[in-house]
Amino acid sequence: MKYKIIILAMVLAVIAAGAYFYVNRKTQSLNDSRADFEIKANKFLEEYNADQVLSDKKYLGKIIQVDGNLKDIERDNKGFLTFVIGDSTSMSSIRCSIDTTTVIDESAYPIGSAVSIMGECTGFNADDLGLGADIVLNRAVIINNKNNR
Amino acid sequence: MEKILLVAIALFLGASTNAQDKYFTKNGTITFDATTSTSPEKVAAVNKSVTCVLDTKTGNAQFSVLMKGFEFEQALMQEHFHENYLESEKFPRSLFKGQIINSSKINFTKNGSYDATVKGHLTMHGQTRDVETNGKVSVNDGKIAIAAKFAVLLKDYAIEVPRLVSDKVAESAIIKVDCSLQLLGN
Repeated sequence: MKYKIIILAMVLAVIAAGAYFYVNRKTQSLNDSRADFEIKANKFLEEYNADQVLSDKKYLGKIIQVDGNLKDIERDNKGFLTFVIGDSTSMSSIRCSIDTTTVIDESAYPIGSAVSIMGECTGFNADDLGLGADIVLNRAVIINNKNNR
Repeated sequence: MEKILLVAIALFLGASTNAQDKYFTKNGTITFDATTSTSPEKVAAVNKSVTCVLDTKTGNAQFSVLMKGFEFEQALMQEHFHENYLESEKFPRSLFKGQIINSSKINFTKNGSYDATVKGHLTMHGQTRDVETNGKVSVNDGKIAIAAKFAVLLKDYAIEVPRLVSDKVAESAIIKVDCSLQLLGN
């Protein structure tokens, strides 16, 4: 009888601990994640420009690895980093908001170099403000820099 | 021929004046906070990829916010926010179109901090409502920063919070806007 109570208490404790960790789990870094899709930057923009609704269905909230040329690195006044991938002659880009939990040395990534960046697709800003059309990736991590390999 | 050239020059000048009045960012920040005094933890999210365009000549301001870009510290809260409350896959983008109604009193070329009143329409979760709020416009060496804070009643935007968690999530969320704008074309 005593053992039964002890075992029951242990089972309840494990369930309670599991529930606690499930409810309080933090958003994970994508460093150890696998991409749902790997796509070239220009192809990704082409798909979104062709059909936003269909592309949202396919990509929204998914982990995407984008391969392309680094067009710009922007650091805003709060220190948040955005790596911009795309054709330097076009206003449209893939904008990768870098995961704030990772530290990145920007100087290791020369503008114009080939990069692969993985992030969660948060959607598409169509060109209705005259600023070009952009796809945004969030919590982005840099996979490699082909120039430095 | 001369006439065509004059028209072309006039058009070019017109276009360039226009561009010089417009400021923008694609890295604006918006925070969403629905924490109550009884919330066991912060019910707050941040979006760091807000697009904003401000026309300093007319005071017109537009914001575009991709909802999936809102990040919470806690994964479960983020899942509930996107899947149950804001339905971010069904309504991926929120838009604000409005105007700084006292923009004539703001000198966008002189360094300083100015009070601004913004009026416009906010479309979120498929619902459009009028919004009016006070904010600040700061001009610093050719850069313009805008900041505003206002409350949105979740009910107004058809955002339903289940009764089970209603004491943990505020009925009206505080939206904080913080954008550092640069001249368009630079």
